[in-house]
Parts: sequence; structure tokens; C-alpha cells
Amino acid sequence: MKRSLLFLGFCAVLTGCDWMPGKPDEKVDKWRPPTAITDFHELYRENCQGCHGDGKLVAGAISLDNPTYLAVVPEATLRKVIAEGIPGTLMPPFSQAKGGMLTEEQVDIIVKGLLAWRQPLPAGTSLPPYSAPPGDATRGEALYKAYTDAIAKAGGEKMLGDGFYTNPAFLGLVTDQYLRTLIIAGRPELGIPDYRKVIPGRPLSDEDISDIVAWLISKRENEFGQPLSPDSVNTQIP
Amino acid sequence: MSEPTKKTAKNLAFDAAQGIFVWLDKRLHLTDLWEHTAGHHIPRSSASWFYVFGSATLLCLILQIVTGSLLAFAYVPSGAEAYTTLEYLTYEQPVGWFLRAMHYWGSNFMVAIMFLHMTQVFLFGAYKYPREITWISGCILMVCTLGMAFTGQVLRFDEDAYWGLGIGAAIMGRVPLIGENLVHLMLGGPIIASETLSRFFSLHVFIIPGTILALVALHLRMVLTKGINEYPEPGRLVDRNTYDKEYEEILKKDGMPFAPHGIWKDLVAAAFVLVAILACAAIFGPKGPTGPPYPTEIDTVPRPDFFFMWIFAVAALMPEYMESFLLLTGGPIILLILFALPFINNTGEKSWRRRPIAVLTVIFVYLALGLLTYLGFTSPWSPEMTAWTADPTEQSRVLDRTPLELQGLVVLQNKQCRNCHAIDGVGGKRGPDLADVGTRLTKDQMIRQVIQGGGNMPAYGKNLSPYEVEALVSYMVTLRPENQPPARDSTWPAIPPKENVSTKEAGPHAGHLEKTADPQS
Repeated sequence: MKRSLLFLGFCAVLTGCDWMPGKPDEKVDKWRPPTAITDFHELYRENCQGCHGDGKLVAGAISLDNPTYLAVVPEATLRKVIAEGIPGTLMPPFSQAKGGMLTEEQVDIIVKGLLAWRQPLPAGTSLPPYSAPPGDATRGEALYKAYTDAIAKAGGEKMLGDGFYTNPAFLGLVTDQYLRTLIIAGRPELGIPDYRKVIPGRPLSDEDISDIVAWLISKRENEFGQPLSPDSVNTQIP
Repeated sequence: MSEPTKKTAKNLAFDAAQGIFVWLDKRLHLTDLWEHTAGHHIPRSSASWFYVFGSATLLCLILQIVTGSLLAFAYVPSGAEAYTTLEYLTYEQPVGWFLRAMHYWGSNFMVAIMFLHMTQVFLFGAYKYPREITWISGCILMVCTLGMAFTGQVLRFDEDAYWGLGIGAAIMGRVPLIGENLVHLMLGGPIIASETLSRFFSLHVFIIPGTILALVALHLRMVLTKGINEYPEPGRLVDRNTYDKEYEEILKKDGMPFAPHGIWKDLVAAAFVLVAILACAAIFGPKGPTGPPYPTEIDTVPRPDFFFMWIFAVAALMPEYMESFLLLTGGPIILLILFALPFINNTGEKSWRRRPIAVLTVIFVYLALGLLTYLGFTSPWSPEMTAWTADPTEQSRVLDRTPLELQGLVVLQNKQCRNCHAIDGVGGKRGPDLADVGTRLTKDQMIRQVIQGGGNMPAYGKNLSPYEVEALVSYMVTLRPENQPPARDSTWPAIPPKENVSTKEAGPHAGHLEKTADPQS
């Protein structure tokens, strides 16, 4: 018995007590600065998930695993939006150079990780351009009606309240480009179809999308309920 | 004298050892020392398990000196290197982590056992005549031990240490007239820097331990000269005129040498404490270091070690107008009461069985300290700084919302409401959970609260545009359990008329009755 105990004690000293549960694990316990994180999933979880969801859980802003969105958004735009944010909107800058908390390398990791979520769209899918100037508002009104009808038909009546996309407060918080992105990519996880499923039998064309956006822009008001001219809204935002 | 017979090697060795001992004894008076210390007589009743806490505290002190000395071989007390050397000790140096863990758990045990010792002394009336100096030296030892605990926490020099120092300096700074000078004295300058660490190193390694050793010597001297308190019997009262004689009688009639008759319980208890410290060190490991002591690092939730957690909780809970008064007078008042105790209550009953106020005091103090410590550990004192970008929202709080309401959820995240307000338990806990806010506040009330703030909540009126407020509040009024009606303005009827108006899912929850917007318009 004595020898066994002595042997155990000797082993414990030899192994530096490494087997004990209290030994700190350098990989887990050692403090790392947030700038040292290079794992995409951890970066996404800490910086994006709150507003954009995690692929399974949806959130307030557009899901970043939306296949149509990922198919149309240019890589440079995606990077610019993440790094610099969109001034005047709720998308903050994440790059340290712009006042955020992420290094340029971390921004690149997030961009690459998001693009790795891209999925091939069905063969023959014609993608509209990511960005384009607004079109004909008069024509857009009828298309918008068809758009909301499609949502109602898909069971999304509850979402159509508050004026849906024409709500002045909503329009005051989003850019023209975000409206265009929403029409193109939809939010299928919430019951809002993408541009291919709005009108039965054919996808919305680039012109259709621009017209709907133009009509939505025409509904913008200032906080006193007065209509805003399209020129007063920054359409250059990515 | 006959010739000595043949001696065995064993006998020769014994004789030699005895000779050496006698030689040493004549010069060092070891036998005399033994008889007056370990061999001194104690009342038989004092050889009790209740009397082991003092020696157990002493064991912890010895352990702290040994482990602390070993840690000092590697630790560099400089602002630039202290954190690095702690990381080295924890992750690189063989058995360094275990040494740190022993030192950390040793300090925890030392503080805890010291308070048990004080409690026992208080309940057994051992502070009464003629042991006033023993009690007072013990109280000073308590202050010194807590001083060691605080300075040791600072030497960890991580973010907890940094902010702990900041709080300490802030308290010092409140002292009238000399506050600024005291802060300067404490920090070695106007800010927390390398000089601060040098000061605390000096305090932790030289000044306070030296004081403790001197006080322990005095404390033990008093224990030896005034004797260990006899086990109190109900009805046996202390009288200054007769107590000394009575104690001598007890020793004569029922006394016995401390060693070996009394000491074995202390040794068993000491062994138990040692094993417990070793076990805690092996199982739970050392504390920290947490993040480095960068003043710009705000994503931190600094908390002190457990022995100061109750002070931390008191400081966080007390109303602002009481802060300076309580922080500056609370400690001195407690100390004054402790020092005055043997003079206020010097004679009479010793047994706790006949001292209900003493028992109630102990129960009250332990309950208060326990509750405050629990609150200190569990209460959400700080916002969750990453909740706004990291915390997801439960799906029932997202689905079937209008674009405006969804945008309101984005506002809620973007403006960092989530850092203080959880939704369904996910997020910060500083403010109330918003999962049912739609049942508690009307839309108007929410707008007022968001814009003007109130309670602990700051005003966000200047940080939110009217559209952002509209979106945010539109979303928040939808936050309520299924089938539960929204909060209603008391000036509106409980059941609204149905013609031409209806309550929308979100908008009218505040008591507004609006015409249903046509989504197609």
C-alpha cells in the first residue's frame, strides 16, 4: 500500500500533475484578444448572428445564407459593407479602420466564409444585376400589387401589416439598394419569395425590379408625412 | 566503575544522538521551550474539535508563505511583465499552475477558517477577561489577512486586479480633504501603473507578512500566558476578581499537556485542511489570469475574490447618496465594534447557550454575508457587451412580423438594447427581460421610456431617429406571450368597437386605435 502511494506520488510529480482536472488548458483558458480570433464561425457568431441569424435562426435583417443574395452580391461590395458599414443605416462598420472591432484579416475571413455558403442556383437561372438605378414608378405600382398578392398567397398575410414595404418609417430606415436586394433575394425563411417566384411562370426582370423599387421610393416621406423626392435619398449606397 | 560491556551499533548511534541533543539543549534550552509551548497545560475541556480553527489558520499562513516564496522565484513585479510571468507560471512552468492554485486556494481557506475561528471565539466568550489583547491582536490579524487577500488579488494584475484597484482608489478618493493624497499614496502616482504594482508587491511580500508574523507571535504569546479558554459551561460566569484563580484550579484539577493530549486534534484538522486545499487546487485549479489589465478593454465583467464579494455587492446595491458615507464609515465602525467588544462585554456568561443575542448576531452576520456574496456572484452587474451582435432571437419573436417590426428588431440589436435587456433570457440582464414588455407598457409608455430613460436606463432620445423609435416600439409591442392581450391605456375601453377600426397586431397595442392599414395601398 505504502509503495503504491509512493509510486503514485512519484508519477504525479513526474507528469507535472498534468492529469489533474484543475490544470488550465492553454487553448481554452488562456486569454486571447478578440483580434486573434480567426475562425469564421466564431467571428460570425460574435459579430453577425444577432442581426442576420445563424442560418437556422432567422433575425431582423436579411439572412446571410440566402442563396439568391449570395449569388448576386459582388464580393467587393460584401467586403465594403462589412468593413465600412452603410452610413445612415443600421449596418455598422466592423473594420477597425472605420471604428469597428475587427482587423482587415478578420473581415476577409468573414467574407470568404460567407461566400463559401454560396450554393449553385438551378440551371438556366438568369440573375438580375445586384445594383441598378430605379425605374418607372407607375409601372412599379402594379408589379408591387402582384408582389404582395404572391406573399399573401404564400401565407404571409401577417407580414403585410403596417403598409409592408411602403411604411414610411421602414422606408426611412433602409436604402434603395436594400429595397432592391429584398425584392431580388426575398426572405424565403419568412415567407417572402425571391424575384423568381413573384409572378407565376416568369421571374421578375431587371426592369420589373427597378420599377418596384422606384414605386417604393416614391412612397418615402419625411417625419412630418411630406413626400420626399427621390433625389434626396442616397442611392449610391452599396 | 566497570568496563562497559559490548555496545551494539544501535546503542552507539543512540548515545551519539543523545549527546548531540544534550549539547544543543544546554545551549538552546529546547526542553524548556517545549515545556512552555507545546507542553503547556490546557484544560481538558479545551481539547475540543471546536478549538482547531486557530491552528488551521496558522497552517494556512505557513502554506501561503511557502507557496508564495516559491511563486516569487518566477513572478516579476513590473507592470510590463507581471501578466506575462503569470501566464508563464500557469501555462509553461512545470507544476507552476499547481503552485498558483495552492496559493489561491490557501488564501481562500485561510480567510474562511479565520472567520470560523473568530466566530468560535466570539460564541465561546473567549474574548472576555483576561484575553482582551488576544482578541484585539486577532482582529488586527484579520485586517492584515484581508489586506494580504486584497494585495494578492492585485498582484495577479489582470483585468479583475485592474478594476479592483480602480474601485479601491475611487473609495480612497472619497475621503474628505486628503482623498487625493491617499489615492496618490496607494497608487504610487495619479494612475494605475508599474509603481502601483511595486507598492502592492512590497505590501504583499514584506510589510503585511512581517506584521502578521509579529502579531502571530503576540497572539500565541497571549494564548500561552493567559491560557486557552476553557470550554464554557452555562452558568459559570467570568468575574475579574476570581477568574484567574478559578482557571488555575481548572488546570490543577483537570489540566493536561497540550502535546500530545490536545495537539492531535489540531494535527488531524490541519491534515484535513491541507488535503482539502490540495484537492481544490487539483480539481479547480488557479484563478485567472483573466484578460490583461488594459484600461481600454471594456468587454469585461470584473469581480473580486469571494472574500470581498459581499463588499462588492453592498457597493453595487446601495443608493448613490449613501455611497460615500457607508464606504468611508462602514469599515471603521465594524472595526471599532470588534475592538471594543472585550471592553463592552468583559465579564459574565461565556456559554453561547445563554447568550441569545450573540447567537442571533452570528446568524444575522452569516446570513447577510452569505446573501450578499451570492448576489455578488450571480447578479448581472455589467451589461453583456457582445449581446448586440452575438445573441440570437427566439424564432417566435421574429416570425410573422412586418418589415417595420423586423427593422425594429434590428434597431434593438444595433442600438445595443440587447446588452442590458434579454429577450427570453438571452442577452444582458441589467434591465428587465423584454419577452413580455408588450403586456407591461403601452406604445406611448415605451416611447417615453426609450426617449427619456428612467430608473437605471439612460435616455436614448438623442441617439435614435424618429423612424428608429417608431420601428423599435412597433417591434416591442409585439413582444408578449401568445394570446395575452397587449398593455392598454386605461382611458380606452377594454374591448374596442369593431366598426371601421380594429386593433392591429402591433400598432394599437399602446391604446391607440388606428384604422387598419391596407397593405396593398
